[in-house]
Amino acid sequence: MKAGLGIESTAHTFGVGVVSLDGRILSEVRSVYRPASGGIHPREASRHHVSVAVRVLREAIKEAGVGLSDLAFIAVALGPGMGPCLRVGATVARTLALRLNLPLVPVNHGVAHIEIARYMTGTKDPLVVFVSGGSTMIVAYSGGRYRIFGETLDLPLGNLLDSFGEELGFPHPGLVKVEEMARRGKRLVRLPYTVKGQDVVYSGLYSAALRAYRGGTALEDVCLSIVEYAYCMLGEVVERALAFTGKKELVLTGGVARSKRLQEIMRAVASEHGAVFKVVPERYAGDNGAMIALTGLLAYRSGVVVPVEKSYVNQFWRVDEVDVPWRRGE
Amino acid sequence: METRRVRLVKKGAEAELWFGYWLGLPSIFKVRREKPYRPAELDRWVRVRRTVTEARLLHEAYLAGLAVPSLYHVDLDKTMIVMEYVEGPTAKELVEGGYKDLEWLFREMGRGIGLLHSRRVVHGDLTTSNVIMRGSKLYFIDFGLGDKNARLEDMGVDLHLFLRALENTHYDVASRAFEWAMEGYAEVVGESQAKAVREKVREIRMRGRHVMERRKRKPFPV
Repeated sequence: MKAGLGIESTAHTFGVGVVSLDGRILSEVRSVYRPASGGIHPREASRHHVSVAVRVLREAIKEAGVGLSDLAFIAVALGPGMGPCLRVGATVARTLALRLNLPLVPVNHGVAHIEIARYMTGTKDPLVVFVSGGSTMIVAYSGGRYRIFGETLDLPLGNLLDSFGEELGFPHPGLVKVEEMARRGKRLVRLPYTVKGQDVVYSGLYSAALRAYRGGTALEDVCLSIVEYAYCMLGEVVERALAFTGKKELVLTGGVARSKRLQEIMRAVASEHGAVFKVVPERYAGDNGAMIALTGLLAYRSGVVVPVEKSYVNQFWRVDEVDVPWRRGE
Repeated sequence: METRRVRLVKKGAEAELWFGYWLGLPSIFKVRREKPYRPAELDRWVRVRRTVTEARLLHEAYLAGLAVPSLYHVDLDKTMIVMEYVEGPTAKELVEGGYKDLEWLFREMGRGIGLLHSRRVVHGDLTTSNVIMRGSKLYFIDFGLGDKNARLEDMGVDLHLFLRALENTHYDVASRAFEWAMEGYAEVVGESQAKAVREKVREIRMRGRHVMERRKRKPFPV
């Protein structure tokens, strides 16, 4: 036995990754559901996952150059995410575990984004900013778990900009086009800038930006404003978390980590506090199976397994509820 | 100020704290510096707003009967506040240093929060780093994120943030600490008001992302 397999299906992506037991990524294959219009409908996304699951799985195993008999464990993201989507990955994983008689390793999707970022950037004990369509949180390891030192009190950053873009008629994910428009913006309009303690609040920003657009403000300027306000608010709470935790590495991960402007802000924030800034490589920013396999490996080595009959999916599984025994003793 | 005796006390996330003398009084000069990553216009607006809020709320908190540093001077051009130097350990340092009477400490913090809320003021950044013990008194600092004319919702958010801060920093004592604080809080605002705010805290927590209690249903099989 020389490898482990991980399955990701929490939202729009069905992905499978294979890692060697000494911690190298052997393959990463995925299929991303793209809605024709609007946001992600959980049922439609889950149908996509069902239709691509076998192909993605086959390709990942082939690309890794391993046989099924080489596998030592099956890891799966059991949450948080959309129920119907989660259940596709869970079903495939349970089937494999039973059929191959392998241990099933439960992985938290958020923890996986943290671990792949740590692995890829070679950082040891970073403050991690995890930003995606479904999450916006600032976490750091302390006392056996990843603790949350800041998050959104309502909308996640990706969701804010995607939804805003979709309201303007941009294709999903709207964020890309919103940022593109923002680069042509010239003038900031006044929008709510809401920081509460360690957290940000984005819903007021969303409504006010839409109002400004409908009130006749130039589209480019509204896009510039919503992007700058949203990123600067996050920059500020990240700064607070850096000052508070005293961590000397700052890592950006998750789908929104691809944003060049956000990277620029985070780099500046890190340098203000004498911290090193790193960003997860583009390929591993979005959801993927390799991060599940890799985190699965860490968990598997620490003896974290779940009996198939208890392998419930959990739509609301917060990062700070997960024990991370592989970092114990730090 | 006598520059020869000026020294940087702390470089926080938002501001630099300098120790020096104002009209001969030992003082803290709190300067909100430019943030290079923010567009200049937005940056200036945020800094001015925070400085004004902090100065106003220091006064409001004083009127509420809370121990706070005395406000000496405000300079909006420099986005700077000069205030009384309060020397002592923060509540965070006390907890981490194994302070014996945690019950008293958190009850007293709860009473302080209660005094503020009774005057419809929220602090906006309640953490154990923002409370200093001098003698047998707890001083509250850092009001830049606070607000006046607070509604029940704002008070709920204030306490929610406090609980969250306890959970990430003092996770081994967080729930007991919060209970003590809420007892002290109830002594000041009264049982029924305390109950109403608590209910809000619960509601706000459930609005958060990926919170299990949000659904009555347990994670369902398959």
